[in-house]
Amino acid sequence: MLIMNDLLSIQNFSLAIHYENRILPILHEINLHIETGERVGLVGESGSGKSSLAKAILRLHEFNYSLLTEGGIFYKGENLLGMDAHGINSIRGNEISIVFQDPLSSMNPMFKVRKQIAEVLIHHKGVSHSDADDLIYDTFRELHLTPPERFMNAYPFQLSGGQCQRVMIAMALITVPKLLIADEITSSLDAIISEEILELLDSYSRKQGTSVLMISHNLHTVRKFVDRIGILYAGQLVECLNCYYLPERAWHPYTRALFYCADAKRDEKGRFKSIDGYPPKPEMNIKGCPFYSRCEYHTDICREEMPSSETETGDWVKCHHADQIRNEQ
Amino acid sequence: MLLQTENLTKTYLRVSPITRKVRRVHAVKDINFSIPHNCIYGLIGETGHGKSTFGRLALALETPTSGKVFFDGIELTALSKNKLRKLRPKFQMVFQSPDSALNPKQRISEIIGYPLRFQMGYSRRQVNWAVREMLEKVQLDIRYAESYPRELSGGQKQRVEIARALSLGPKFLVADEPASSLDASIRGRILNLLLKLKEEHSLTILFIGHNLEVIESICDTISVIYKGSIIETIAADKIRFESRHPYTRALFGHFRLKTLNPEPSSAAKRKINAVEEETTGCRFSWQCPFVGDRCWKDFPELTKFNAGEVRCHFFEEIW
Repeated sequence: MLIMNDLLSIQNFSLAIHYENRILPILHEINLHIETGERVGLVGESGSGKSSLAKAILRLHEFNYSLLTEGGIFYKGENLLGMDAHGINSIRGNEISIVFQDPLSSMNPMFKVRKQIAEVLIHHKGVSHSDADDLIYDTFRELHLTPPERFMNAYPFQLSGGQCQRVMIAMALITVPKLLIADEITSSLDAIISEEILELLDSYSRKQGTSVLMISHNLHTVRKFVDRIGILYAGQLVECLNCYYLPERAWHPYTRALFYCADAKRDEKGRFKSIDGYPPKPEMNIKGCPFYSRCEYHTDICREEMPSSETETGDWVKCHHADQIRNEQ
Repeated sequence: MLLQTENLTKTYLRVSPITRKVRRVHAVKDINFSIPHNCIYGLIGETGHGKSTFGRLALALETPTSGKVFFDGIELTALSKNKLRKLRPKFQMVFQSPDSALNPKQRISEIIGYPLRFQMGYSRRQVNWAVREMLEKVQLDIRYAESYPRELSGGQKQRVEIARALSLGPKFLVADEPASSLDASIRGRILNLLLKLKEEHSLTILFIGHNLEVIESICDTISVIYKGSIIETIAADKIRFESRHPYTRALFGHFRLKTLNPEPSSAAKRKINAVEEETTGCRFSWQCPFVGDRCWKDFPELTKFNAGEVRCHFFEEIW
């Protein structure tokens, strides 16, 4: 199933680590499609494999004997996994950009901001140094990094966290990529600043027509920003839904529980909501539904068989009891 | 009042590496604070605005530049080291990141048991019993007693951290972002545990954090800290809609702040620096949408209003 109008289409992608004579699955048959101009969110808790997926898209992992992959990640119909080094280099930072959580560690402390961004432009777009400077100047103005000269001539450690993250966004978007992967970009920032940054990213990427894949552990931050959310649990994508329907039409028990946990509201007994148990570890090699042990709806079939979904386009859910939950409402 | 502070101030000297100019940084500035018995008191603020410093000062883990801390009527800042150590079991702290707070080379039983032997002089057998009891209390399986911290998940480590703090039977607990390193699905359990233990031990908790939703629902009273001074104190159920300080209202998204940019002109910057170093004016002036001439000159006093206390010249106009 190859949908040609998809910008990025991840099809049956699995990732596993070969470690001490065992194979540990990290991601299991992920199906995710991003259309041009669409914003997709990916929400999961720590260890669910969300960052692994982000890195796998740009092949920032080294795939060798210890890292096994299956399936494909297609960008404009081309499989990124099978591409040679030259091919992937022309896509990284040019067609698909990524911004990481910690801006300070993604920049070289020895170079001024101007030089680091200019490098991207000169390498990918072949512009001259003076043209690159002009472009950076304009981009900084757009992202409210004014006066731009001050920020262009600063070293990364001279900037605050929020400013650094905006510089990273400028670096990622200056080549006008088709897709931006935002991996937890605001989780290390304060509430007021992170809101501001998301707003800037929102308006700027809309203007450029860039699709965004936003990865976060915080359902509520992502929900404000994206059109569609994929919920990742223990390496499996368990539900994909339009975030307009949250939480009423979320049919996976995990999605619903996560939504109420993230709210941090106390119930009538004065207790916070939480989910019992812990997510399974990769070495446990579970056959059935990964959420089985923590689910309030679980039955025997959940332990034996991994639920599947009829379609994996539009809104879908992987749960044996989705119909039951639907009927209850 | 269980804990009271009087004009508590902590100043750091920061030397510029190039110009060698010494600059004073007021991490905490003139805080007058009182926490009543048996409540959960919240403290919110952004990174670097002094909330953790205040928590450490309140527990006498750091010496203040000036000011006094009273715990249950005893002046902590005047006590000798030995006397302070004797008093330490009464107030404990839960740190934000359990990875850096737990010794990776000690087993869980040692981590919880060591303070008991050191402070209370328990025998080995008594320690064993106490460790078991504590682990049960924080709902952690007893078989983890012989594990090392690295074998535990984040939520479990946070439980050990709480068990260690509570093993000495404190009256007062400072919880410095106890749940912010945890996932949403596990966070609730740690908060429930804190609530439960608070009831059982009749604890008083100073809950420091930056997650507004959590603080709002767990605390009874909340103080907002901005650049080292308390700018508003208000009941938790009123903070969202009845707060008066523009900063608090911006935190809850009622309006947008004058953002950090465009970068202020050099004249404006000098003004900001003057306010920050000498603390003559309101430190929030440069970001405040309601700023007037008075704000740059006078430091506003904490003024009472119907729901709490606020430090703003124009609080009556902000609604």
